[in-house]
Amino acid sequence: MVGYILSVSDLNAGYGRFHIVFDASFNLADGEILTIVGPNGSGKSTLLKAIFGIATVYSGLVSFKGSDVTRYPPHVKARIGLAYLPQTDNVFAELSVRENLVMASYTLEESEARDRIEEVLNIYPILKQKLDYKAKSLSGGERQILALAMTLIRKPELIMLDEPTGNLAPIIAKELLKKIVQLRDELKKTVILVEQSAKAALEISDRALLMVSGRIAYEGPSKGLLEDVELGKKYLGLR
Amino acid sequence: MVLPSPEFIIYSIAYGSSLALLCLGLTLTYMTTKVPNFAHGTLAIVGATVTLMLIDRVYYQFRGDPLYYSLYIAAPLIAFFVVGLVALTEYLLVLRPLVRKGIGIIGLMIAALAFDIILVNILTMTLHLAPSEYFGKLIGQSLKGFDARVSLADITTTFSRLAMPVVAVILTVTLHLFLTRTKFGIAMRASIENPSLARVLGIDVDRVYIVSWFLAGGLAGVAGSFLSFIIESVKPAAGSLVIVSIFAGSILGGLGSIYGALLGGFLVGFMEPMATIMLQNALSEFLGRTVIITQYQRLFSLLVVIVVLLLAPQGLTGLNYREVIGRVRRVVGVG
Ligand SMILES: Nc1ncnc2c1ncn2[C@@H]1O[C@H](COP(=O)(O)OP(=O)(O)O)[C@@H](O)[C@H]1O
Ligand SMILES: [Mg+2]
Repeated sequence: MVGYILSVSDLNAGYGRFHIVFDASFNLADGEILTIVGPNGSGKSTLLKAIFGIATVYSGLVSFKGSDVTRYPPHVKARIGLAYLPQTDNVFAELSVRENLVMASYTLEESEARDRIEEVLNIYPILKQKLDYKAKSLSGGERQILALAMTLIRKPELIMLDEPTGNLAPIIAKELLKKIVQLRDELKKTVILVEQSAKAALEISDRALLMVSGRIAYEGPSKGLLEDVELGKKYLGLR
Repeated sequence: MVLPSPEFIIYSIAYGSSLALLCLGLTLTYMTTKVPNFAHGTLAIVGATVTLMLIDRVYYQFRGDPLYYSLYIAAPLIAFFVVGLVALTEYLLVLRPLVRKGIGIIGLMIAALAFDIILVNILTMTLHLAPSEYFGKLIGQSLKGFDARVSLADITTTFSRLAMPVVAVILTVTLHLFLTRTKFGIAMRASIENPSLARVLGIDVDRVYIVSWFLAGGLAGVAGSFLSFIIESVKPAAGSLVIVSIFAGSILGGLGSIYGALLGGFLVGFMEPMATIMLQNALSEFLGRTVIITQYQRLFSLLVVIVVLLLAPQGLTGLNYREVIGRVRRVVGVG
């Protein structure tokens, strides 16, 4: 069990009485991108929420850097190096870009917060010109970049992104995927990515996980899933 | 149309200003906890009661002395903290435990009503039982005679009526700076918009709610302290009259924005006496004899509630004029 930043074993999770995810197990090595694909409603978002502590975990184990974090509440997970970007409403629409960044650094010391905001603005310079714009006036792509910047402020080691390219035009989505590759290659982050448009995402990722009806139907190198004609046809609309 | 006197216009501006603060508080608590707080009118009366008792215990002896003017600082300030704590009690002891149990909006509304009834009774007992230094009895006193008179040119008005709008503007600007310039203020706006995202970012959303309730109560205390000089008499049940206008102003403001609440509250508070007196003057002229309709003043607020909910349920802030015109057509039945 060496080298894994995240290990999930036999995880059962859902919302109150609604059991959604069944016996999920997988490992993720430091510095890799894992893409989770699968039909709508198959439990991808629920799996992320369970790992982050928002959905209810009935049984199973989530360990992060070797320690059991299964029962940690979300704000504690955020403090120890996990970040989670929700599928919807992941920025404060009524707040300016600057205020959103201040909120993302809420728990940090004043001077440290200022430095971190400066850092993420250097990674994503387009935000610099929009600092005083309300987030709701940003384009879809800019909004997702703001959301990415917000998750990066606390220097997380593992970043979970739920359909970040969801409502974006294909060209913009491609740009955003490049930014996600940059997270891994330049900033040395580990990334879990949930994606609808499976092909493009699988091509940039190292590992893949296919969810069908709340269960993991494939877990392995993403190349393997891309080349699996049967699964690809059935669940991913490839070819 | 016969225009009201300048004195009456000053009075209406003062009443509108106090209502703006009350609507702001109601909207603030509504945006955080999603409960329409039926006790908000009585909270203002607690502020009025604080002022009454302060005059009875301390200020009666200073009448005519320049020192008397410090009442206009001491009373709102004490009322701010006392009523802030009362509102906090309502949230911490009544509403928050119910919210945590998963009680729905109807249950919460009934709980707020129950708190209002309890508060009215506590006030009644206090005013009956508390010994009075000067009034003989405290309940039902009019404080109109205790408001310092001010003459400007040939207009005679009172100090509280001139001070209320100024205080409302100062408080509004302060609140605006707090909400936009301080980290905690920004966190308040963030928590109101998206509590789950705020929690993910490590913001203590519950503390934001606690501050909101305290602030809402505090502002009601300040407004009530000034209202004590305007309303006919300081009695516990008076809150049930004010609450109608508070709801009207808040609904007009859209219940989703504190700036909308300020505008809605001022408009309702200013227009209610103005429209009533103008209608009264017009009716008297038309009928050739004096007609008194000021006791029906609250009808104006009720009409505002009905008209806004029918034509623009999002209030002023959500206005889409084309849609409103469409609704007018449908309601009136043309086109
Ligand atoms: N808050 C919730 N309460 C109950 N059921 C939910 C909730 N959120 C999602 N679900 C259900 O869980 C299932 C999986 O949803 P989700 O994890 O969002 O799927 P995906 O992200 O793969 O599209 C769906 O059937 C959905 O209706
Ligand atoms: Mg999803």
